[in-house]
Amino acid sequence: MERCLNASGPYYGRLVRPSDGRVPARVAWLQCVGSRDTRHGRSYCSATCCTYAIKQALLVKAQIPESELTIFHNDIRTYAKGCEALYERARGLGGVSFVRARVPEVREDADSHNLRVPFLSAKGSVEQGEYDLVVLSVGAQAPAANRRLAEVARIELDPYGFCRTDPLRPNEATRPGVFAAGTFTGPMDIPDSIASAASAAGSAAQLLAEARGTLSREKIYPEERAVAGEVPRIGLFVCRCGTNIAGVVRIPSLVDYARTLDDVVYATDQLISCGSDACREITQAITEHRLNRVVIAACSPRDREPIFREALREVGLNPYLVEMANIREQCTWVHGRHKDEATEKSKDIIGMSIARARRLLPLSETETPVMKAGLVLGGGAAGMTAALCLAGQGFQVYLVEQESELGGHLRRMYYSLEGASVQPYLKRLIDRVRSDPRIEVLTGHEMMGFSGCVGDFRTTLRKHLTPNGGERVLRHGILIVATGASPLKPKEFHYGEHESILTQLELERFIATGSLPEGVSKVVMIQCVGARNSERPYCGRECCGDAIKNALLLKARDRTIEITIFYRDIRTYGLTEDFYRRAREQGVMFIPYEPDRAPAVQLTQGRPAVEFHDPVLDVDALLRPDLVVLSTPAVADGNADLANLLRLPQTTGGFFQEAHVKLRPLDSPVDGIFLCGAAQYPRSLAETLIQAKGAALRAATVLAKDTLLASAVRSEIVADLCNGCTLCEKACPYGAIEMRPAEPNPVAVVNPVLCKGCGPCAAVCPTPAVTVSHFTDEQILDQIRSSYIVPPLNDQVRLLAFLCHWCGYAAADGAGTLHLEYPTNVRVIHTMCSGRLDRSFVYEALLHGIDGVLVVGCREVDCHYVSGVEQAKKVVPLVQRHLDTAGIGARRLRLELISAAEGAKFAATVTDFVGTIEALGRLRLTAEQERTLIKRRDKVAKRKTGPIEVAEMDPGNLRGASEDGL
Amino acid sequence: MTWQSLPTQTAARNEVAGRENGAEGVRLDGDAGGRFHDERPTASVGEASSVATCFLCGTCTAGCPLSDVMDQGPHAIVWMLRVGLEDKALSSRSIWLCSSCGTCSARCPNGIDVMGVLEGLRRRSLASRAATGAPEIAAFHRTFVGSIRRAGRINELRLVFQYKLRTLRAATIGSVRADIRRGLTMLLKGKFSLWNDTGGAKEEIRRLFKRSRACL
Repeated sequence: MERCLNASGPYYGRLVRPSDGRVPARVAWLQCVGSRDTRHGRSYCSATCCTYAIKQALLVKAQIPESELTIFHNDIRTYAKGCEALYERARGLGGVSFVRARVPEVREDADSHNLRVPFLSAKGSVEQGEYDLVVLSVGAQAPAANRRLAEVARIELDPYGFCRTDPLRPNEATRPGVFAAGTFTGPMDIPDSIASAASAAGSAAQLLAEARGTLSREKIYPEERAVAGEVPRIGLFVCRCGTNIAGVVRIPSLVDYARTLDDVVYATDQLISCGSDACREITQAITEHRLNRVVIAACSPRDREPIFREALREVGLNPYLVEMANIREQCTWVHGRHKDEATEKSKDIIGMSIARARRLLPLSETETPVMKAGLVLGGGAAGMTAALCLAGQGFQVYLVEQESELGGHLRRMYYSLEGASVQPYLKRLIDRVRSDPRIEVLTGHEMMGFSGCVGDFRTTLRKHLTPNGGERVLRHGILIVATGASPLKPKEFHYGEHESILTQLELERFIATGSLPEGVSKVVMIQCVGARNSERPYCGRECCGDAIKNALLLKARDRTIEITIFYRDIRTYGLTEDFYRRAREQGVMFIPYEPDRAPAVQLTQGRPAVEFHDPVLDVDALLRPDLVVLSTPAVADGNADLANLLRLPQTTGGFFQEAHVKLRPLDSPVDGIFLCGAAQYPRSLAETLIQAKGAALRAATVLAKDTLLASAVRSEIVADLCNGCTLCEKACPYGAIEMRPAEPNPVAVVNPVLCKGCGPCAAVCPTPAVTVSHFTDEQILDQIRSSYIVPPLNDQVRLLAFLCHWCGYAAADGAGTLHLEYPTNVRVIHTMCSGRLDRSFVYEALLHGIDGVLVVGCREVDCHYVSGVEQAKKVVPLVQRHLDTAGIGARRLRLELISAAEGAKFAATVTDFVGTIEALGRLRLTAEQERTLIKRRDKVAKRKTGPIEVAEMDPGNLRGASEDGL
Repeated sequence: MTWQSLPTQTAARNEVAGRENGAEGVRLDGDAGGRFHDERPTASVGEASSVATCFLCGTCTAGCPLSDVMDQGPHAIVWMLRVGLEDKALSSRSIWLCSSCGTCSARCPNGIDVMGVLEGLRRRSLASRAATGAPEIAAFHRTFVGSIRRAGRINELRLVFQYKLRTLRAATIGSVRADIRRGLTMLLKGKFSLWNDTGGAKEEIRRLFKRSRACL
């Protein structure tokens, strides 16, 4: 199903039934196929399938809106961060049903080839569903090869074939010095896999600390040649890419054409430009012809640009002086059947690249020294483990805890679900932290101030109960946030009114300290108290495990004790499913409830009574337990102040947001700040230990360096031109722009280390103060003005597409890889972010004779620059209104949000947009409209476009221009 | 209706659950199912899981070929045992409609021998001599198995007579007349034999019955 829905899959992402190619109207997912099933020896939960089925359902629903989708499940286990919201979204859509039932068989209808599945409905009757397509959510299993590996490495496996680990040493195999990560240790999703990989590396790095760097060698480059002030001397290399390019376009005509362009002093073609021989040829030509700009007409810069940048460095030319003309993904691969048009388009793409290359400037990455110390905020299990792992790798660590004692939540915990004793472990952990000479423990300290950036943060601490003067400033290269979360005190179910109504945490303490009231023989537990509701729309993740842990502890004390657990979904994901099974085996009764028919607790005669609905017999019933135990989630309500101080975004429930929910679970969006433990999301002790070591490893990647290089693509602000309006400060997704007091007005200053070079700041700036290096206004405007200098054959409409680097451009590359045809009359301008789109670019394009402008950015959730695409979403409607007012028509400008994987959508979008513009016809501006556009362009661009008006360009640049004066 | 107000048969319940009925009329006895398995003389006994492990997926009922004529599917019978409503399970008609095809047991993801559980309930129901949910099926069962036990095989005429006598209370004058007419027709066509054809391995079958400790 994943392949079928993927743009690069067998159906280009369009879902069809493989047997007959029909678009399915009814699709069913069957969960737990091969999981949670003792018959196959896999009683565990595969941990990921619920979320993936929901994701697929959302994708199918978006593609086929009228489709009827059904997910048959045991429990829906969207326990991971953000996944409950996904579940709620799917439930909120019409036509997506969730049925709590396991399907025993699938039968094919002989005539329609539809599939029939019987299931037990909520009413208790057996019903038949008929579907065009059935998707089996097949579970994960340990590969058979694990046995051999375990033998060779002399480590133990569990009965399922996964690596055996200890809950308190979750990343270690049974043999010292052998670490384990990912699904080798049990089923898990991507973020947990990545965290565990980092943790295994972290543990290994502790052992190898002394040897760090002993095998690395530094590459020495020749001194960089100064090119400032030189007249551009451009060299063009056209890659034949075997037959990928040469098979479609006439290479000699491209080379000949390029030779006619100004400043091109050398042009040739190569068989494969990225090969090492060809790169040597390029470096020789640079030296021989004293080239100071290089254009490679080949493939996508997303792939091969680093190779050519490296080649330039090797001959002492600044690596930013190379430009790639993408004539493969954007031309020969998508216009293979139109060779003449493809040749003309390639010429034009090369012309645009040469125009841009002429404006390229040498850039350098700023180097900043790294303070070789780390600060860990929070002295609980996560913080102490992270501190120990960092110290173990040889770095100085400050461990800051606001309470007077170390331990955090662990002090309130006695057992792990697996039955490990926590308190002795905590004591050992504290002893190790206290006795480590590289860790300075600062208990009773609170963070008052925070500034600086990765490599050099400054934290102001104040000691509690110290009046004035108790402040201390620490300098550190990284920060690990391990502030944890706190247990929720529920408002529901008469909590706090009677001693027999308590939380799981309180019950655990009673059990551990032997203070459970005498004569407790009946216990009721209620799950999801204060979670998965409108106030806290997330899953507490650990509460199911906590309830089962306590139930097993009670059963271990007294086999006859009766325990009933009311639940919505039991979410014992992964290998913890076996504890759910064990609890059932021991007679713990589990009764499901729907939120609208939740059990009710009443206090009568000093004893709780629980009224509930028996969903199987459809009767109401009553229990009179001795204890009612409420399973509540961990909450992070108190994070707002810290989030403000650290400039960290928060997600649902107040937990800190990671840089990427799947791929960068331990990094915060702020460079140099890492996250672990419940501060990021509630999790088990074992998972917390894994995350903590992983975060310490991520932090060490910074601390191990002596200096840091900041990206050369970044924003620069000329103080003299800044009018102090603060628009750029607000537009910056990274807080990298700061207003500094000055006369006559405050001025914006960019912190080069925080800046990522996305460019919304330049787009909003009403003056020419902001420049985004490597994507300057001049570079982009010159590209616009040089487009269609080689006119399209016939009088086709002319389209320009602004593509963001991460999604739009990637999707165009994807369309190329898949050879998805779209019309030839579109030219691409590459920006880092769609938020870089300056209004003047659109006006300039229309003035230049472009008939339609397409802007492609990331979908909001994918935006590489957190919120960069939001800027494009503001600018485009604004310009569209202006175009409407001017009588040009809003439809000539379009914004599309396409993910990097959606090559097919990109091709379809271009085709559709060409159709739209063809229907509107070529844009013939009236004199009035032209005046309006010029006025608009200049108003937006102020003095920016002033010095580089078309009129000032060397007319020679326009050689080869078409008859109609472009 | 509440769990308390459901009709109770304390004697049968105690015998099945082996426990005193709770003050609230609710028992959550996860071990109830194990007792049935103890009586099953097959090798799979030791491997089958207790009904307590049921997580209500409905696989048994959804795949049961007779679930559409059952008042309560196998999953509900298992549930009754889990919540201490053994009497309700014992008096259910569903346990008599079960054809022992074993689909439920083969498919149960928790390894519960659902078929065996239902079979155990049938035996218990017969042993208790209490009213069953399907008296006519129970009567036929008694007659059929009794015949085999005694004679080593069945004699159709005797089977029908005995069955009809056992279920006479449910009969009407019309139904008796119709039975006589149909019986005569079948006799004339040779479907019934008037002679008691013993034959077969009477003694061996008796020994089998003895060894299987069948409850009759």
